Amino acid sequence: MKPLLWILSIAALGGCAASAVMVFAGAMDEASFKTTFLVCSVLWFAISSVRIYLPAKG
Amino acid sequence: MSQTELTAEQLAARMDKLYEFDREPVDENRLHSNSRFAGLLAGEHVAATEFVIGAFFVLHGVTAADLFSGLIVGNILAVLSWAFLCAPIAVQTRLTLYWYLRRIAGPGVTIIYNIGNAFLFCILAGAMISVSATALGLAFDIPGPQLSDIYPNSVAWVLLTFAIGMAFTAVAILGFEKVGQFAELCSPWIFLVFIAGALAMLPRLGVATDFSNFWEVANQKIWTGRPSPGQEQFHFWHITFFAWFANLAMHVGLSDMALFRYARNWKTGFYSAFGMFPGHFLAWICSGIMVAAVDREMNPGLMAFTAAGIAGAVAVFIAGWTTANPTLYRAGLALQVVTPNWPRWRITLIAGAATTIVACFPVVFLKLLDYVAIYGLLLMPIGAIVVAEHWILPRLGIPQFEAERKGKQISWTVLLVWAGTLLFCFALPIHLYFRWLPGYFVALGAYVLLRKVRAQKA
Repeated sequence: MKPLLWILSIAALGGCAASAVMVFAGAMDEASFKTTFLVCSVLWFAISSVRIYLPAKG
Repeated sequence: MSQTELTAEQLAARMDKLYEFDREPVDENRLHSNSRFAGLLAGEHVAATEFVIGAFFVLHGVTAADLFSGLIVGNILAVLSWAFLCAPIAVQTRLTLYWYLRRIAGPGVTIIYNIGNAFLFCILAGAMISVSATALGLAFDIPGPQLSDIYPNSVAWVLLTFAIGMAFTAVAILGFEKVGQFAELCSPWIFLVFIAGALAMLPRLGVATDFSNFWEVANQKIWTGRPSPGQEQFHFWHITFFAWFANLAMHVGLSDMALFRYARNWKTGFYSAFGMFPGHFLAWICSGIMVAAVDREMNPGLMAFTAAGIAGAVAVFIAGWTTANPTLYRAGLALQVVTPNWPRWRITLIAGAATTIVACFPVVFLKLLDYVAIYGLLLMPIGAIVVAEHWILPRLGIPQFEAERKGKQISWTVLLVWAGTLLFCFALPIHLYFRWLPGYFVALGAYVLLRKVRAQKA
């Protein structure tokens, strides 16, 4: 479970980074960047919190 | 003697009890890997202060060339200070500064050091509450303070800082471990907010997508060489020294012995570069870009909100919280020793209330750069004394650990050198940022001289 959560949390962080690169490159407008960044951030917090606070197996 | 009066011995015993858990030198099997240090240090140096410091460099009218070169040189000097001063002593002794200083200066001096540190922690936490308030204030349409403000500019600002201060204090009372975990979780995301916010603002400032005109825009619109009204002009040496002393208490002041005593060897000190270059280079540059994009308005919440939207404002709030919370907790812990058997929650509440009052005064975060300089300066002489005791005294044949050998509560030599160095530094007719360096050598020389004279008399 934890490796999957790791991958998902990194993907969410990657989404944040990608949206910033896209707004800089002109491939996304500022409003869409801010929304995408917010959504990816919420996902990062949700997944990472589960990963950190999830009790260890056994 | 009444119940509220405590002797120096009782105070020392209570202080020792608080730090009992790290009394023994670290075992070989508890040492950390270098990769763990890289992660720890990278997370530690991306905090709410970074939103303020980088922005202030812009307001101080530094040029782009001075900023980049000053940050590179200053951060390298900081890394070298960790690698050649702090980490070697930590690895050789495997002790925290608290326990090593106790052997050198006696428990009385460690009490003074800890209480002084607690007050400094409270002021820093107050500044962080103010930074968080600039973010939360956006949601309630409460204007942030102006650059020249000393006192609160509205009742709404006072109420906001009070609410945030009390909330942070409540969390500090409830515990530290979960917030510590949360802070670790947040640090990569907060770093990303700096990078993303700056990237998003670059097109607004006119930077081309291939970065071809970055240097031109940097000089014309960001680090222009023209200070904002009322701000002193900064040059290369201001930036170099600031980057060097931003963590003076930790490296030259040796308080990071607590961390590096877990290192396998002294070279781990070089891993401080993993904290310095993302936090005190990239993040400062990014916050400079963000403040330039909001017409130099010194409001961290507004800067981040403009750059990255709601997530940016939340990042400033969380960064303030995760910096203020452990600071409040440590202040409470240090002050607990001098209270008449008060539980930790009560002293943390009082420290939090005092910190909250401090936070209402925007001057605390608007003068953060000077405060950082004073913080390091006040604790620096202790680092010089420990270095002299550890390396210089044995080479001169002077017996070490006088306070421990003679069972002294207070080493007056240490107190005299500490106070004398501070008087010397404050009297020096040079810029505040440069005073600590001559002061360091004065402390080193004076301590060795006094110890030599005492050893000859004995």
